[in-house]
Amino acid sequence: MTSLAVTAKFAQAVRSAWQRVTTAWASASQTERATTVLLGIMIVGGVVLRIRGIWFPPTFTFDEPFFVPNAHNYLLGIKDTNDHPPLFKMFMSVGILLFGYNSAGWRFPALCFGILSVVLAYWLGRAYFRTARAGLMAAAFVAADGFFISYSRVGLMDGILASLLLWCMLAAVSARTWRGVLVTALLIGVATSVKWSGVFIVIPAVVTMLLVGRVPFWSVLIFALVPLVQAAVWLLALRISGEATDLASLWQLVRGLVKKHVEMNRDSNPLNSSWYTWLIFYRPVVVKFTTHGVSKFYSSSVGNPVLWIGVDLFLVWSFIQLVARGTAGGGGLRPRLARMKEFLVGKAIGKPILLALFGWAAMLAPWTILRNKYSFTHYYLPCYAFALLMLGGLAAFLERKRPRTVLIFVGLALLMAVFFAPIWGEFSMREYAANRRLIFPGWRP
Amino acid sequence: MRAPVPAPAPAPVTLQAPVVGSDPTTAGAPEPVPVAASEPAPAPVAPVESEREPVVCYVPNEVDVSLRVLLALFVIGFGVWIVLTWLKYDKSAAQSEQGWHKGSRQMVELTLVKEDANKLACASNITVEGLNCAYDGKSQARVPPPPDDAHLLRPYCNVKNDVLLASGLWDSPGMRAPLPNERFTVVCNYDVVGVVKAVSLRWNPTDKFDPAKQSLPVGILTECVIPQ
Repeated sequence: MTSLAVTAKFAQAVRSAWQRVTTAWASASQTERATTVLLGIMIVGGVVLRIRGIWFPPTFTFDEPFFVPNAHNYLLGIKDTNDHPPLFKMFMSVGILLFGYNSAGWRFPALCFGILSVVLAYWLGRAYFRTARAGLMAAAFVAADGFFISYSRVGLMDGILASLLLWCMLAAVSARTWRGVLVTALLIGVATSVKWSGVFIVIPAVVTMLLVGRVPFWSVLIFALVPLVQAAVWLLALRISGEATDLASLWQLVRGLVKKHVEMNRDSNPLNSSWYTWLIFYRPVVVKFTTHGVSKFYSSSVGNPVLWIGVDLFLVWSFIQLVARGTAGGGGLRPRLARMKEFLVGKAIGKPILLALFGWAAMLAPWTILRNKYSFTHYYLPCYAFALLMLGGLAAFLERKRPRTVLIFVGLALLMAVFFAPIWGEFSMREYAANRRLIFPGWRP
Repeated sequence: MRAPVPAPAPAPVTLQAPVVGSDPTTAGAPEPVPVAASEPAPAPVAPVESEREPVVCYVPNEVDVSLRVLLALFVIGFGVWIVLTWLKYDKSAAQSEQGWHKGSRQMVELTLVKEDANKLACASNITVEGLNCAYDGKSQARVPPPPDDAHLLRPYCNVKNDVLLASGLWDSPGMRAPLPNERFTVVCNYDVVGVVKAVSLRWNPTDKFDPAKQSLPVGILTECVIPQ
């Protein structure tokens, strides 16, 4: 494809996007326009909160000491001694290469992927729910939630993993032929090269492709490439760090790390939390905390309460509705199942909500089964991304009938984001002011 | 970018994004409210939709979707690089992992009691930028002694429990007022002039000098104030 053709294609994409925006704005009611403005503020504010003072503090915070020196090691050509796959640290080394060995450099990849998550939420929300409105809602919710903001501001891998998993699901929803499946498999290989837990996305990806894309069943076999992609990434990392690059050495390395992870699961940590507490943000981690005199700077990973309570209420309501339809009323098993099916997929919104919910459940399920002691709230981050997608689609659906209700909901979410912004984005504040926001002792550093 | 290929799947060409639901509508436009299956069919509304002028859309294929994400990532990375450079990140992000390096100025908050002026001391043969400890490497009083507080190094602890060697604290104008009787903190600018490893510390005149377990920064404290 010539550069002229690429430019023409890009110009066409921009023109059609602008046309859609103006068409949607012209056809919207006053209430919907007000909601759109609030959503825009949430997105812009969320991006600004991610970027502002990203380099502060200029020292390591939370788990950064485990990753940053190892990322630096790749640039020095020496061994990575960390116990996670190498790709996150290789991303980080690109940041260090661009900005130098400093806090801006090692937080650069997390910031880029953190902003990319907002874009992906838009695209995936639109792909799931077939309206740009759902995508806009999902993007605004991801943008204005402290869980995502805090992990965009720190040199940790969890925000990057969540972003890559959204990308995997976008590829899965888009897949129509084996080519789409191949792209999805490559992306899942990349995600698992950041953190092993990313492999759980295979299940919702396969189900989504078979249900939505209706790809040939045999093409699922392409997912056998996932471990090969990870092996290729790992071999590249070993080559960069000047270690043995034969498969036997790689196998020994991976076995050793798996063993280490199994042993680590017996450890305890004051920040440990069980999976069921993640739904209510019982023990969110303050990923950055610094003190200068009486001024304190927090980056707490507590989510936007309006959003996570909204998600939880919807899940509880759906569960109660489902149980009620399964137990109430007459008839045998078949009519009961029919009523439950009607509730789940009877409306157009049902199927995409179920798919988003499936992503949420698939990323949560392993932690409910493993029940290891060594689990933390940030394991919930990918699940929460799918939960916010679901909430975005639901809000867009409800807006058609109840635009004022949705306006109030979005307004409350924005107000809550403004209230919590100082403890998400490291504003200078006194302890008593922070504690007004971090109201539970478990939320405080 | 790859060459265009004919779409192998029979997907409708007007699709903006992959279809998940059941009723195809133009992206961005309001969809009709779903109607329960048991209700009678409503008056035909579809013609109204079909009369609207169709929006010409760029239709990404299944591979282009991921290429677009990749492009977005590069655009975001470039944008972040521009913004951080514009915000002069290099003035704030320290080059070393602890943020302290020779030639840098840090704000430090030290924890003190007023008797520390006579209690804290270090012992070392090393002179850094004209700054000395009160005692030499054999823990003997240095001859001649450092002329004033501005040249005399003493060990201090900051509120994060980091140890540093510094001069100039007690002669600082902010310390001339009567000092609190209780433990207090003082905030100063700390100009790092070097690092020493061969140094011993003493926190009380009745104690022995203990060798420092790690390299310690050496610097000058200025503009000290007791935070109110």
